[in-house]
Amino acid sequence: MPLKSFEVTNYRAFVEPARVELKELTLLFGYNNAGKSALARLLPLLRDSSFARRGLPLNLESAAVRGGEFADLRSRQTGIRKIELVLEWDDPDLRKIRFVLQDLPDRRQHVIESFEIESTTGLLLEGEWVVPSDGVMGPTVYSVRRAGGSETRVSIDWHGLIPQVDSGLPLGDASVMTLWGTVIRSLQDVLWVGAVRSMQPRIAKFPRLRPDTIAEDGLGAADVLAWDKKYGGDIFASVSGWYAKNTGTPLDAALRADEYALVTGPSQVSLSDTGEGLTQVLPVLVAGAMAAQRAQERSSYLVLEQPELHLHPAAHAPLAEFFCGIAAAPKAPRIVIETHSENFLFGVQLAIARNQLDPARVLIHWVRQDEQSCATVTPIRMDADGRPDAWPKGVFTEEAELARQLLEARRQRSAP
Amino acid sequence: MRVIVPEQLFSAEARTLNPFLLPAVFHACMVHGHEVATEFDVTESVTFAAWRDSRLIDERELVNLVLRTSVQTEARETIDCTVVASAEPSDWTTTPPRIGPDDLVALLAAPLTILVENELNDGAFLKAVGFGFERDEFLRGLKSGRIRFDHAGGSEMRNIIVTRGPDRLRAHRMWAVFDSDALVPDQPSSEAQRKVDACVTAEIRHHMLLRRSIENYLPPEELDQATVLNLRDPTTRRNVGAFRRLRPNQRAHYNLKGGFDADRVRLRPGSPDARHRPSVDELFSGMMNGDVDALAGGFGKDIAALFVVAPERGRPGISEAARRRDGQEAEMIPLFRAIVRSL
Repeated sequence: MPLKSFEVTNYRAFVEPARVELKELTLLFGYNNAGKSALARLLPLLRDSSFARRGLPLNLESAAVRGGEFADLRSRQTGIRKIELVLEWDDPDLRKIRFVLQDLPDRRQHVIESFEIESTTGLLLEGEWVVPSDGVMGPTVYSVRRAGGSETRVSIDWHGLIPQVDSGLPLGDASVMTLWGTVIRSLQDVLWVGAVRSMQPRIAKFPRLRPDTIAEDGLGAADVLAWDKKYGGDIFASVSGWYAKNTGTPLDAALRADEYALVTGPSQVSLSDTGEGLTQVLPVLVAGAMAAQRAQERSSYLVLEQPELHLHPAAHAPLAEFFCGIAAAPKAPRIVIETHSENFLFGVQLAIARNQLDPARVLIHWVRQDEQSCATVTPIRMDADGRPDAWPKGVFTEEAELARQLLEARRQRSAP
Repeated sequence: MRVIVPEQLFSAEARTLNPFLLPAVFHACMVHGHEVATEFDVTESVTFAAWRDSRLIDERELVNLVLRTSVQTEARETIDCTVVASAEPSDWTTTPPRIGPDDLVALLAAPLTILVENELNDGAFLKAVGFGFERDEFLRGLKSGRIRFDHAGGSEMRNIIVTRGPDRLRAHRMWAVFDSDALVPDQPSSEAQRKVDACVTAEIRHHMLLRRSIENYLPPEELDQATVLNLRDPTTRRNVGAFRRLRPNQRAHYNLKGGFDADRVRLRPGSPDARHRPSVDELFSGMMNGDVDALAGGFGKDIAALFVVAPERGRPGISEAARRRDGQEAEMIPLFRAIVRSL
């Protein structure tokens, strides 16, 4: 069961609760520095915090934190040293997890200060961290209570965001905590490709094992493609097909002994020697095809930051078409795309208007900061004609305003 | 606003009759941010091409720009104000109205006027209570002059509505926003209801506030803030505490200016509002005696001045978050959406 939504409070510029509902295709729009990336990167941060390594709840070594500390994640505007997260699923057994992370800067640690777990019938379990009386941090002890039930003190050993509970918890409650671990582990399948991408290797060793991920800078995409070409998977066909259709230059992985090279066109020009747009879009397409493939078996997530970067605007709509195709599949991943592209949006609107994508599978979030520099999120839905139910006036007609100013300037120059 | 320009207006005959109309329409649309829609394909129309090619290069560029922007805007934005350009005298009875040469450019140049009861406080209220990007657009409209407030206090507002109604051009570019004066939910005062009726008759867009008055949109935490900043006396702090303890629907209809004492006069036997007495008693039943005493006198007639932003006095404005917590989104998002869509 894929994550239905996440909500953050006191996270980055989101002082107040900001809820992001996830659809098959979720688009984040907004001006620079509005908070789009902060929202998008929450998913890879959760992914990196979901691996069963003993340690702090949030994995601050995640690339999504960009070398920061907890203090960099929480809002600087409030002085409150906490971040609240609410994760929601369409699962009757576990509908919602809410937890509050508290910074302990003196110890360079943070803890889950409190949590609530809900099913569709209501609260299953809630817990509150028992602050050690001697001030010494040992195992985190919680006062845990079932709705209407008595209180139990248990020690919870956090492996990232996955709780390991001692034997003091009644069996039913322990199974609820196990369920927590299960749903958090389901967030491990997040592919994230950032806006700043590295060059793919000109020639590389053929991978010894099947590559199963792409780094946030896009490295690893070429390995995935080469492996898939050799073993006849769908990823290569999908990516190569997009290049052939939209750039006129088919992409190939030339396999030689234990090496490979990505080449384009009949002249077998190295991808490294083609235009920047063609190289930069590669990891975006590979990640999309990988997420589509994985979604056939399990919940899968794809987070892309400005996937259209370096592509000519004319290619933005075909790129959108690629992701609309993935989002329209019966078993589709949850795709989150942060973009500034009008043509990408047009591509999505066209797919809806042409009945290629159900509008119910698309949700736009407009991210902005108010006068107090507090970030807010406004959901925008599409109708069957691909028309948004609301749209910030003037966004994407900025060029018209510049053109108007140019005409006015010319008029003044020609005036006697 | 969307102006539909029929193909025949581009014909040689129409151009001879009104040679300056279309250039003025395109120019006004560019300057005032309106859209031009055509119900014919401009890329295929020989009539349109002939007209455009007859213009000077600057004008051709302007026409192209307005048409291109209009198509982009139509793809995403909803416009709830449409007129049809006509070579005949205006006919406001059709839907959409057909606007003749004498009125069209004036209509496009007219700002959207929002009739309010008190320009200072009501204007500050409207600047303060929008949400999200619709609020941004509303504030931009005020700054650019595309939206302006018009003052019309108390019953004078109804007179203005009745007077201006026949002036269809002005009525078409007008909104009226006014208090409901409702002592209890869904029971506007008879004067407020008369304003609604006048707006309906005059076909003027309007919104009667669901809460009693603008000051009922001051979030409790804003009163707290004001108490800390300006009203240091402990009695006022006690009164704010009592106000906070009211239920949301009580806060929405409590008389913040004059308190329960003022309403007692309004509800005395024989007065027009006496019939509301049982509903008011029911709405405020269950309050602690101390809170009833604390809220007897209200917060003064200038309480709505708290909407006026005054950074120099430590009043940076009421946050969206505080208003959201006060449950104002359900009313204000549709209101401001409707206002900016009628620009």
